[in-house]
Amino acid sequence: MNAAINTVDPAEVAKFEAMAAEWWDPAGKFKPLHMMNPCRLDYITAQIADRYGRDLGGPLPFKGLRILDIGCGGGLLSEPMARLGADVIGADAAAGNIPVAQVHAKQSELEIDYRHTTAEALAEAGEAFDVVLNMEVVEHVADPLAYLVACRQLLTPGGIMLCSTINRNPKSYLMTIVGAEYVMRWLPVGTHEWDKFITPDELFDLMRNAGLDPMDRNGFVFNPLSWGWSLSDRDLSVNYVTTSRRPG
Amino acid sequence: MKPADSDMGILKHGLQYPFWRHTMEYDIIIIGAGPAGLSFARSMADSGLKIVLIEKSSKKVLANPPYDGREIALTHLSHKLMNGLGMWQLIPDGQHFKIRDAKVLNGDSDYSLNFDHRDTGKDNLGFMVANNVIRKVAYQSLQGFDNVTILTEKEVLKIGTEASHGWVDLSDGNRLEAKLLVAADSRFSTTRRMMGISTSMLDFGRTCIVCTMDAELSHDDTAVEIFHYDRTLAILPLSNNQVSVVVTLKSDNSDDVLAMDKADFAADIMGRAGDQFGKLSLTSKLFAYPLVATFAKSFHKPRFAVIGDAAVGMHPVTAHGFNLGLQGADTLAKEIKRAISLGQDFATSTALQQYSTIHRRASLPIYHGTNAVVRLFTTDTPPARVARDVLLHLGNFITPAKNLIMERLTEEKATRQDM
Ligand SMILES: Cc1cc2nc3c(=O)[nH]c(=O)nc-3n(C[C@H](O)[C@H](O)[C@H](O)COP(=O)(O)OP(=O)(O)OC[C@H]3O[C@@H](n4cnc5c(N)ncnc54)[C@H](O)[C@@H]3O)c2cc1C
Repeated sequence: MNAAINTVDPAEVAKFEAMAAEWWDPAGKFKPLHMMNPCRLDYITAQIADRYGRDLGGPLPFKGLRILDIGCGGGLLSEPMARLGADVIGADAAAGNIPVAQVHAKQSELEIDYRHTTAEALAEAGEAFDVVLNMEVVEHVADPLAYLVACRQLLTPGGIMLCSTINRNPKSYLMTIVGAEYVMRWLPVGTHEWDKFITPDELFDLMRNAGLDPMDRNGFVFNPLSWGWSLSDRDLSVNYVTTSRRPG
Repeated sequence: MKPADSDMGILKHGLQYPFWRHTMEYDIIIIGAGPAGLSFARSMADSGLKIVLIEKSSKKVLANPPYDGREIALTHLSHKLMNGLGMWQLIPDGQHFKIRDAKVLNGDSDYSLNFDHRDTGKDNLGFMVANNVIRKVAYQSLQGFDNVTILTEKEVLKIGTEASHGWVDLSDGNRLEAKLLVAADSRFSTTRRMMGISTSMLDFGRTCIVCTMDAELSHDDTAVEIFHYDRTLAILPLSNNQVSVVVTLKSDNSDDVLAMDKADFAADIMGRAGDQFGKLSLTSKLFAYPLVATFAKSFHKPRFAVIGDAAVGMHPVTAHGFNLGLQGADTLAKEIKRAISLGQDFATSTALQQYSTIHRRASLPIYHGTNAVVRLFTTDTPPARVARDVLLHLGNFITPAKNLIMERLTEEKATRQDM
């Protein structure tokens, strides 16, 4: 553990710290993600609590649960999960994110196992989790079905996967590519490829083909009046999140 | 949460990260145990977080605050919030009063803008409680919470934040650290300034003189506000025959008024109030407050938030100050608790930003609206006099505008629904 951080020199560490500060600045470069995070966490924590009968009002409600955060980035989801008591592995295919996330976890006094790896590699290594967080990843992978199969293999029987992505329709094109990338400059241009977006029905089909039981889906809806995100069980037109379960 | 590994390779390179392994004594430091600081502490007390309040005055003063002449008009939302915090229940019988109706008069004209409680579906428009009683019950409501400490007779001299924590230097030479610092140290907040938050200030050049008086005739639980061209007079209902009198006048005239003897002062007020209260006689000393409205340009920074008058210091004429303070404290507490329940770091996540957005949206229109009213009603030019006369007449007919004012008094929900 912490292999990456132990082998870097102090100048590198300072650089990672600066990058971590950037990742974690709610008003900074990743502001859209921070704004969406409470809403994502609302859904995630409620689904996990529901599946494992945990009381979110109590201390360390996720104690004893093993959670994998795929595409962990700076740790925006890994840290909350660890703070709620879970044993967390954060995986990211971008090597540069790992030391950044590690530096920040240290600052937060949290123990999180961050690894530069992929879902497929972890599945091959025989890792198993009670919960797999698969948030805003599937629209970026080359072969969604193969990827979801790996995610299923990573779940203990009965374990759940939370998967969010972006719907494919003219509105989502306008909002996420034209709006977020070109107009608001919230995201770098080219972050998304529209033809990789997946409709909720397609995603449910993919999940079934991957051996997962789809259980629930909800939209993340941006309200320009309150300038915040909320969950909707009707409006899945742009960003949406799903829960599925490995049978057993 | 688990402590992180301590055997870090980078420490061997001589880099110092003292804060990484620092165990903080407190989660939240609140600067100022005024009504806002105490209410916020009470709102957070059930979270189990370790909270410390730092206050210049003594414990004796907090436990038994002296009467300061301020009689606070409270909205139904404040009533509900204080109930929820277990504060209202601590107010002794006979120390909270009702404002049933209200009327506004322009000078000596008989015409008045009337606010009738029957239009609101409530028994009354609002409530009256003395400021020292609010402070007392707010302090009492914290008894029994072991996680809340109050350090008295200590002043915060310096304040700052780092990536991992915030700190304050106290007048006793100690430094305290916490995840979050909350400034509730009045509209002239020095910690807000030290944190580099600029604040717009509007000095009205006026002084508010407050006192209580005995009225010969019943006040009918009605608040009366009378705008004369050079001063404003508010008469607010307390117990059966007691009223709170609030005189707003140019500061260069205030010394003369403060120097009046009791009988002259009473005669002056009677002359301005008309005959509706009969004979009025002074029952307290006169208290003077300079009128300066303030609005902080930002309500938060990472690991720092401002609440109460330190966020929004209102002109008292529309009686919003503590009502907004209480609402803001409630908003901040809710956002922090939400962040905690989601496993977020409440001091650096979007929680503070959310508080800021919600509370600014709730207070900014009221702040500017109040200042505009104050300007209109204290401008001596004939056009302004005509304008306010028209406004008062229109007010009675334009029901939407009036209902809006009354709804604000009687609504029990914060302006924005919980997410
Ligand atoms: C005449 C008048 C009438 C009013 N009428 C109404 C009304 O009808 N309705 C209404 O809602 N509001 C009213 N208000 C407003 C209301 O009184 C204020 O909004 C309220 O008192 C603000 O509370 P606070 O806790 O923010 O600040 P304060 O009451 O100013 O308390 C600040 C506290 O911080 C402490 N402090 C300051 N600096 C430091 C430091 N460096 N270190 C340690 N401690 C420090 C002080 O000792 C004090 O205890 C009125 C105000 C006035 C003047």
